[in-house]
Amino acid sequence: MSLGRFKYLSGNFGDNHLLSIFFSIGWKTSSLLGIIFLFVLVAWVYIYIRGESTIKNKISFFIVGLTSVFTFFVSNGFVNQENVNFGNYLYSLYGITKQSFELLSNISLITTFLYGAFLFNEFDSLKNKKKVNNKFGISNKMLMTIPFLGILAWYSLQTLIKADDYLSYAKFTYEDAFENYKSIARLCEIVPENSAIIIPVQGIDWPDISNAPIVRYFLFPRMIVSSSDLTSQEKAAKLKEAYFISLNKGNKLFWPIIDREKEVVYFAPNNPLGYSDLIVVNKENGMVIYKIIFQK
Amino acid sequence: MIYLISTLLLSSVLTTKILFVAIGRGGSPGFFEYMSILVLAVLIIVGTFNYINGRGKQKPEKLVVEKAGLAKFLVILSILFISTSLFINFNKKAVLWDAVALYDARARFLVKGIDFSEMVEISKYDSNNSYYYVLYPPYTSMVHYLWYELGISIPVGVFYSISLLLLAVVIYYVTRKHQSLIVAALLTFIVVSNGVIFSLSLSEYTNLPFTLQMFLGVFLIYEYLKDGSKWKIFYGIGLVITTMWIRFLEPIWVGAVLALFISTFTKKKFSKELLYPVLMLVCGVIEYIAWQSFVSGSVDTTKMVSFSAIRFLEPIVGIFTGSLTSIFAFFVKSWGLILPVHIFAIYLAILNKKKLNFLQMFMIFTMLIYFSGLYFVSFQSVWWDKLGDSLVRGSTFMIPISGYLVLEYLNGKKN
Repeated sequence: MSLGRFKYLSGNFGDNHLLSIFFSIGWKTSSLLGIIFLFVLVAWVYIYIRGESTIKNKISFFIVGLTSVFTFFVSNGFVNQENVNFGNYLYSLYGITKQSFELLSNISLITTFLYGAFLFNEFDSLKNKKKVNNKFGISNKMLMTIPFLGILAWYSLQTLIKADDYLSYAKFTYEDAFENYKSIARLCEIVPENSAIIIPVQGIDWPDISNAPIVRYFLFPRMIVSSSDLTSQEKAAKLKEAYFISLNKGNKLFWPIIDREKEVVYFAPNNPLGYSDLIVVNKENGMVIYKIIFQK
Repeated sequence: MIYLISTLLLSSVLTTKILFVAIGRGGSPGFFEYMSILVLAVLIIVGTFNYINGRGKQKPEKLVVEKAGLAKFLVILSILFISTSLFINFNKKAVLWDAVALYDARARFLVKGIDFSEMVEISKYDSNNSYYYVLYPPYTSMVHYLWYELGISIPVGVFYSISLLLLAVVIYYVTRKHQSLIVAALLTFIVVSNGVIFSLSLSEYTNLPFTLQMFLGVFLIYEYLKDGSKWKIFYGIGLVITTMWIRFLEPIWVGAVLALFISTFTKKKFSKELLYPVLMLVCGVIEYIAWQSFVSGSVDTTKMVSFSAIRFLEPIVGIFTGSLTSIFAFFVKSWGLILPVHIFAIYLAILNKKKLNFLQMFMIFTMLIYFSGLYFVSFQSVWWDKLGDSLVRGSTFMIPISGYLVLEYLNGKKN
């Protein structure tokens, strides 16, 4: 179903709406089946605790246990694939999101723990030469709690798995945290403290330098002016003058757009603001800092 | 030990509150701000008085000598985790995103003589974030401010490693009192090494101090209900209601008040005990109004969360149109694997054929508060689905509570 849905999404089936609905239902059905599967498993454990285990139950439990362990490792393998490659890697390759694999990994982990608890109880009973079918004995208490203690242990294990990430915090600097930190630092060096600095409209294009609270942390006491607040020439005139640093991402994205001919600057799209003077204050390592004096 | 740590935490809250009124807030403080300081001071004094009075009457605790091999190993491992957190924070050269934007930023502005009222003013050309600096109460920022003013040269992140250490000590001592050595060591290890909690000790956010104070407060109330020590109820109330001084948006304290109401009212005999939930509610409301009145005096609060008939109608209609189900699915998914542990900890009451205890009731109310909060917010803002991480970080105080209940069940030691 998932593969079919992906084929549809990737355009192999053309623009067929009926197929779209069919595969979407299929996708949802497979998730639903997964949940039902988990419920069935929990029901098995319940039956087992009540002492109604049979050889048939044990064999099916064994198969489920092995499948869970296998699924856990495979789904984590896939999650890791995305981590070492790029965001949306799994979706672009298999049509299944990372979140779906994480969900699968979580469900299989719970079932693995359930199976672990089952095994524990089996061995415990063998060791003590008791019949397995004891109702709510000590080992059954263990059987009930092991999956949950297992989950808690899994959270602890994750700290160890991510130990490298955590230790890298020790070398953590602002340049690691903020893509445009160099531009912010340069503004701090060049722009006088009693001035205003214009930043882009807050958004995903420039996540850090468009975020006024972030920029203000480094540039205070300079006044931070968000482009989203410079909605009219009147407001700009009230500000009189300000500084800004030009930004670019390769050849694709530029901020702001300067039109020297018309003597206007677009800090936000469709909002030209006229200036009477635009001075390059500093130009170094591809970073240009301007001082703008707005038209009255 | 628990008394000392509780006193330390309450005193730090009191100090930051006084400092906030004296130099932090700007302008003239309102009646409720003074009242909240007074209430906290009275709770500390009455609590201490009861603690000193009750000391002689306490029965000496019977500590059974146990084999300590594995427990020692677990304690050493926990110390290792805390030391790692300390090492990392000692060496960090930057604070994390939210601390840059808010918590540490406010402290640095304070150092430069800009008070909270003026912080709203400096955002005048950034109207989208004009309320941002008063969105969260000032506790951690005031701690950072003190840190800088006292001229402590080590990075401020160390404060969060100390919070982790205090959390470990608190968990060890409260568990050791009722459970075996191995259970106390195991729970301490489980909590300290928990991925979410450990990473919080490396972030300069409000979550870890909130977790520490909420867990300790709730546990003191739970112990009071068991052994009747009065200092525990006064301190417990103080700790739980002043979590509002750390994080304000999630009213988890209401859950504790409701659980205390039910716990005392379902007891057969009527006595003075019934006054405590009322006292807690009154103190809580004072604490709530104290911060809320400062915020409404500083910014146009309608921008933060707006209340109108349609805002209330929408979520009710949503129940029938399927929104409830999809948000419930999101809620379960974001909370992740830890949710079954919490549910199991509550389910234990049925398994033990007992009434729900205070901790279990508190957990039920907490979950309801988180869910209804998320449900209502989902109708008001487009970014509600970004709250998943926040939910996981904010609810970490439930991990030691669930862990305690599960291990108590497994260990089976009655107290």
